[in-house]
Amino acid sequence: MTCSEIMTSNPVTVRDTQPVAAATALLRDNHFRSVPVVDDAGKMVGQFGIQALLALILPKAAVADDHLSNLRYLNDDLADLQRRLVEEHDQPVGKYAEEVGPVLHPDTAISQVVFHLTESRNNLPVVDKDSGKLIGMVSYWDIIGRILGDSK
Amino acid sequence: MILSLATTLLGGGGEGHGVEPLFGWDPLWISGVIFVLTYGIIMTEKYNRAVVALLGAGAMILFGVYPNQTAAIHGIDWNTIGLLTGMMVIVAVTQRTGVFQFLAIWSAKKVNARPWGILVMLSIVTAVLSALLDNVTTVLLIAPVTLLITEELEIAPYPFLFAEILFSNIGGTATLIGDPPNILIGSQVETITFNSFLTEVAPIVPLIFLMTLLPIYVMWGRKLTASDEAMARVMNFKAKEAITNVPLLKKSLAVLTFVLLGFMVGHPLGFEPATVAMVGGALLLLLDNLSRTPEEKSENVHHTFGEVEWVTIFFFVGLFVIVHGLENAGALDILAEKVVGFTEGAADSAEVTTRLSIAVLWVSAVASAIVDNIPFVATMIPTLKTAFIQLSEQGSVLDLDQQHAIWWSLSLGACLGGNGSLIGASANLIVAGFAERAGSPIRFLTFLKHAFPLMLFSVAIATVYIYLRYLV
Repeated sequence: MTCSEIMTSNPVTVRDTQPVAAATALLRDNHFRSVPVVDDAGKMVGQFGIQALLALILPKAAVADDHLSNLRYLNDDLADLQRRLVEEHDQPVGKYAEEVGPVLHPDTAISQVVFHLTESRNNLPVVDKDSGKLIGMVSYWDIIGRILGDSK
Repeated sequence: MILSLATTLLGGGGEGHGVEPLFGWDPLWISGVIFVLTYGIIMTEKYNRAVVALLGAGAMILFGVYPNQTAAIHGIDWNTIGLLTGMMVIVAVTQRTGVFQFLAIWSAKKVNARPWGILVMLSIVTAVLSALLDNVTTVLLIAPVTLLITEELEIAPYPFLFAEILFSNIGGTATLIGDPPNILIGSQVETITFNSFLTEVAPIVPLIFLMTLLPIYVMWGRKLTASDEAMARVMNFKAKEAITNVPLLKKSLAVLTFVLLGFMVGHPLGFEPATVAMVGGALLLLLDNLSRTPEEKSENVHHTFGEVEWVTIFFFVGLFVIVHGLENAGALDILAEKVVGFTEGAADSAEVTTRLSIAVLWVSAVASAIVDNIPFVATMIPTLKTAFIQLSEQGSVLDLDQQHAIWWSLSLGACLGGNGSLIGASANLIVAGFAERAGSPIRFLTFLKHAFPLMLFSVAIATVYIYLRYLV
């Protein structure tokens, strides 16, 4: 069995030029952990997820490296966190797209897909080898559902 | 002969199994080529400098520059290695207490979060910590908090980071442990001690600090402003909350005090700085792990050793073997002859000292701005030692004070010269790396334009100091 048989086709995406606010609304409204970010041609450029969103509400210096061992002294309130997020609202989401880790292809073997999923906290993109276009996503539940006999 | 490579590879490197230079080539040429190639590749910064230095060191043995492996190992200055490693262990444990973040935030609040005040305070903190620990570690700990503070103040971090780079190198100049060139000089020149640096080099550092701060004020300081709201955000920081482990902080400060005192009183008692630093490091590891289970102890010690900057340590190991190879082959004799040649026609040893001191100071400064000051000083030390011997053979015997004047010139030139460009010293590159990751990159040419004249200015001050104190 290969990846193409279990993936969800035509996944929800955001364009890299869309604002952070739009991507944030998409995550919040659908309770997604992450959403793939694609360019004009539909090529995968990365993903924007909860981790990237949380990083936007902290000072950049706090998330740029691991040398600030804690932020206990910051004494922020909700207004401070909100201020930082609002400052980034209009920025293109492509600026904050993160690497997705392992990328799957339609012919990737199912065991390999499971292997990658055990190492990833997010759903994994399925990308066309030649064009680099995003053609589907694979989640934990795509696999588990098929094993348990759920109908696709 | 050709068998030398195979002989060495097959275990002929032990003491007593001497190998001939490969193909019967002149060791002088082999060592020279390896030296130039290694330093050239390090300068390109395309490959990790520790890996390149170790390959160069390996080549010195494999190509038969050394008669055996043991001879190569004799070239490694274990005092430098031990001092660096011991201090890195102490800092690795101490930084977990959050004390460095506390110091940065506390100093920012002391000046009511006014930008120029913060720049001055962070410059003082950086200079003092650079003198007491080492400048690389200091910027590693202060730069991230600086970026955090400037972000909250909504002002450009460049003047702050620029000042920290300069003052980390200036502060590090003051002590034997402050900057790698001083560690090398303090470890390899037998008559120089921790206290010598305090009495001979440190006195000029506050003046250089002030005279460097002045142009920074003119360039940026007078224009630095932040909104009341932004300053209120910094004033809202809770400095004490930065301290995460008070018992460990007490232990760390106690050990640091013990180590600094050890540096001061150790030499007359016959204890080298490496012994003091390594005992201090081991003692702090013991104190840090007293109440842990055996498994936790093992994991914690493993974690601490993992924070030692092994790239720097192995870089030094490789460099020592390369430079000692050059020395063994006689190449440094030639370099020393050039140095001695520079003194030709000098009326007496006083004039020789004057010429050498000024030349060493300025050549070191300019060279250290262009190349890493560590390999430069590692080569200069044996070269100058050889030059002193050659001079005495020619009748110009330099006494200890005269020799020291030249060593202080090397120290001041190499340490201050590191400020000349972004690649001049390790601390500069570390700050640049932080700035880039935080979205405020420091451009090479912009830094050069601002820093090089200030570096020349500081070396000019050092020249007057050396001249007035040692040469008249």
